Amino acid sequence: MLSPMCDFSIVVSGDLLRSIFERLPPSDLARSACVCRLWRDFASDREMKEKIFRSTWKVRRVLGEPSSSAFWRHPSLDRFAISHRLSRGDSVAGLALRYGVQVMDIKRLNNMMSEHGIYSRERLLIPINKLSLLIDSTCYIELDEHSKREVAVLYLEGGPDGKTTQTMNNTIYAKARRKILNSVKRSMQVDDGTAEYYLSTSDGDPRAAMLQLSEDLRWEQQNRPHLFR
Amino acid sequence: MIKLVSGDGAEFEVEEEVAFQSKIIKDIVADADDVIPLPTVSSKVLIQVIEYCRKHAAVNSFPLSPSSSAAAAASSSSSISYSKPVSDPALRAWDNEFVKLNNSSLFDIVIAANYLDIEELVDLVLETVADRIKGKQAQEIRRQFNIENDFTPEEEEALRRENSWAFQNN
Repeated sequence: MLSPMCDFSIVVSGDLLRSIFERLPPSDLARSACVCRLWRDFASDREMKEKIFRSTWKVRRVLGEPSSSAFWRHPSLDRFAISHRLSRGDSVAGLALRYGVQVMDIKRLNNMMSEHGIYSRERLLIPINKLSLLIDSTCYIELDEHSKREVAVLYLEGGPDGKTTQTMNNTIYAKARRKILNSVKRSMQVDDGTAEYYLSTSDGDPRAAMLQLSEDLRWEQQNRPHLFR
Repeated sequence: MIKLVSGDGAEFEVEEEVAFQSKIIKDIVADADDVIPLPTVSSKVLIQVIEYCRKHAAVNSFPLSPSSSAAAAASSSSSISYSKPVSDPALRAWDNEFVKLNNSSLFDIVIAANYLDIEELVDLVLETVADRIKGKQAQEIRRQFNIENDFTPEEEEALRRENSWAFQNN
């Protein structure tokens, strides 16, 4: 009934197969992986999975390697979280208010028995409830030591909507950050928002932030020269 | 006029704007004469590709009326498409008819279109093939594309378990 040879594999080159798979949603890609060995190999390619993950969630970049490939196709937003670096005066209730999420959800995500748990930690993961936060973001695949699972973590220090930066400025931590921010800003000649963004992607490390920024600028110069005329 | 010669020796005279739907041909013509041998394309496929290029060359040379482009924008915003959709609804309908072919014909066309660098046609065919995969179970896909199941029963079982989430509600 079936021909002995897989004529599909003779006709369709790897590149074409890959471009067909790129057009499939995750569930169809998973079913395609069960068709034959050739399809499985292409459909379970990391690059392919990351590409589909990126286009599903509209994130710009994914860094890190998940321990299980199941990570890529997790269908819901609870795989994502914002990393909030704790500073003096933070409380779970305050964070819930600031990020617009439920206290219970923060506690559950971070495996906190009580709200006092906050004092022994450097950061908390904040659940994400708006898809829009993911657009063009950079996420890091991390195994969080408290939540005990792999999470795609977004770093957007300074609050999800910029308005909260004001309240953070009162803390010592924020002052130190401000200093770093200013030095990044000065040396790279960019505005606050840009410096903040790069600092957040490098988790506050100014050197890494500047490195990334100059890399991106170079890319932009090469690919969009009209902006620099 | 440009003369295209298929792999099996058939000659096709086409207008420049039709042939130039292919970026490769445009490049070749720039530094060669007007007879272009296409040894890897059969005449059967070339006829289809020329038909597509002729249609698209004709439509692309006339600016859209504002009403039809607005309608196209409204209808395309609701569907998520991989590439930018063809904006003219009449041309899109024509494209949809054009790809009502069996799989092996589609593959022949996409390989030729890829070789000739006709981006819109490559997109059109790949999108069509992807649509034929969507929503189907592995067994149906195998039947559709005449693919042999070369997994051992153990491998298949393992894959099925790993991908069980994709088989739910289906």
